[in-house]
Amino acid sequence: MAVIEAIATTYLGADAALIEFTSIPQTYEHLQLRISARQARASESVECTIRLGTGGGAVDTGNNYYSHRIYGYGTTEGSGGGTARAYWKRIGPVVSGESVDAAQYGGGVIDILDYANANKNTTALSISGSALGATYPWVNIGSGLWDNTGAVDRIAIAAYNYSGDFVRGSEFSLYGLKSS
Amino acid sequence: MAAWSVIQHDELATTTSSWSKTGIPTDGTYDHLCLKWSMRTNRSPTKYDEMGLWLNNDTGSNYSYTLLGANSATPVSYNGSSLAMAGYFRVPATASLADTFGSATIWIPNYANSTNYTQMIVSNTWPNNSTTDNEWYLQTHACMWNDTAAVDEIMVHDANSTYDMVQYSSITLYGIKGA
Repeated sequence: MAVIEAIATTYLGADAALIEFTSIPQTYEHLQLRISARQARASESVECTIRLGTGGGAVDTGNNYYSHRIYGYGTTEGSGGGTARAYWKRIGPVVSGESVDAAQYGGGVIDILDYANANKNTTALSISGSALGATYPWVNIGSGLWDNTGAVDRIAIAAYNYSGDFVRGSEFSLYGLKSS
Repeated sequence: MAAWSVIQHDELATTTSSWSKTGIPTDGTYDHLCLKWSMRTNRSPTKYDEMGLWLNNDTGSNYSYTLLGANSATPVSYNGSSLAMAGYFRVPATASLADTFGSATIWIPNYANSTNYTQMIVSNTWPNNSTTDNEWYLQTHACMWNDTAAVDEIMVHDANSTYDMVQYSSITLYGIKGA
């Protein structure tokens, strides 16, 4: 039996503002989200934003998300954390904006460990990068905390600050990692 | 054969001082190892603890590392050698936000070869609901064990051997097989 299984993939045949994975099975130990995307926003690089849900309901829109990151932005490096927000901002992969070559799609991988454990707040670890040929290439290592011990059964991924679209050709895949 | 296999998975039922896996196959069953943990310790009254990792039960000064990390607006990079562990991987402790566990992924490529020193690539986080300096941490390490032996044992515990991993901490060791 495979340890890593594909739970769902969304490939955009047309621009879309929101990608949601719902009814995520509780049968895996960890989740891994892989994103290749581009946003319709006049920028070289743009962060994805992510919300989580539990209990079969909608995603949590409260200010319960925290994140930290280390980044390289062209020749500038930096790091920092976000105060409580209504979504994960600085962990979501940095993807390409529409100010760079249309063929450029940024990518990222996010591990969400022990997502189904109702005794733990949900935490995540990510790495992403984009726009390697542009003026402002980004690379980002991110850490996320959702202050909620509910088992995660829904993930929503939106464009920067929950505004605008992901463009056609963007792809979002969710994998489950088993523990036996 | 599946590319990934679970060699060992443990979720701690109670506070536990140490985790280890012995008898890791070195006969070509796997090409690489990957360890993932979700970890918190009972170190008190601090906000964080540091974990260590040892290969083949070697506690000699045979480990070195290069680190990129941040706990403020300024990332730092430094290195060290002749250390008695791979580690100082920060995880939440008693004074961090309750119910919050740190995540780590540790890759050990080509672990079974007996010609080269063993390299490890580590991504690790101490998440917290704070933006204050030194109340969170994010790091990526390149670690090396200066020994050519094939790795058949991994041990993890508090770097000071003083505190315990708390209930619900989990560790999963995967073996990855090439084609």
